[in-house]
Amino acid sequence: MAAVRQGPEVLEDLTKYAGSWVAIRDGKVIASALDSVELRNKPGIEDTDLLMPVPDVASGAFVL
Amino acid sequence: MPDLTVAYRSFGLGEPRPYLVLMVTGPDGTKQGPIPGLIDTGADGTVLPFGYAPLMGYEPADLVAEQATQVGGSVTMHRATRPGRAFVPEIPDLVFEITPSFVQGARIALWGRKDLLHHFEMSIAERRKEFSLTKL
Repeated sequence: MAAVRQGPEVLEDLTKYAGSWVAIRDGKVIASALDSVELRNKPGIEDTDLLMPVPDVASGAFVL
Repeated sequence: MPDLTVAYRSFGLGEPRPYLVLMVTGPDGTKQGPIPGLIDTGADGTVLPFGYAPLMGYEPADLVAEQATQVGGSVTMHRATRPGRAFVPEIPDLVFEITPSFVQGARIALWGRKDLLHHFEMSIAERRKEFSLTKL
């Protein structure tokens, strides 16, 4: 079975949004805000948009 | 044969990792949206950045504070007392309950064992940069 990617890859470097929340549609950042509710309430944000926080240090290794 | 094989992706955050997008619904069943998270066998359950709590419709009364252990030490998390629901978009016939714990300051969603991995067998092929899910 070929691996799927679950939607388009986010090609944009998100490090410039470090510490913020971003809304992603079709693999592109369409909006950002300092918190999740502010982002969701922005005009044009849809329920199908992917909302996610960007780590404060987005370019480093993950140790979870 | 697995029901789904997913390629690692970067989400604009450096190297590719095993992200899985789940469609998640809050406790009242009305607020739904996709959330990308990392498959994490080290997490007992679903762990979400606190900002997802209002997006899912959780009120403060729906959450109970608990201490937990993470790699860097102890952390206060807010466990939901009412479950939400989730499904893998490519496998919509398997909808399962999740009981998320929300953590202030967390920036990565973690799909842990008691929710996602209670319903799927999961294997990771690190060299091929992909993982597979098989319904149980």
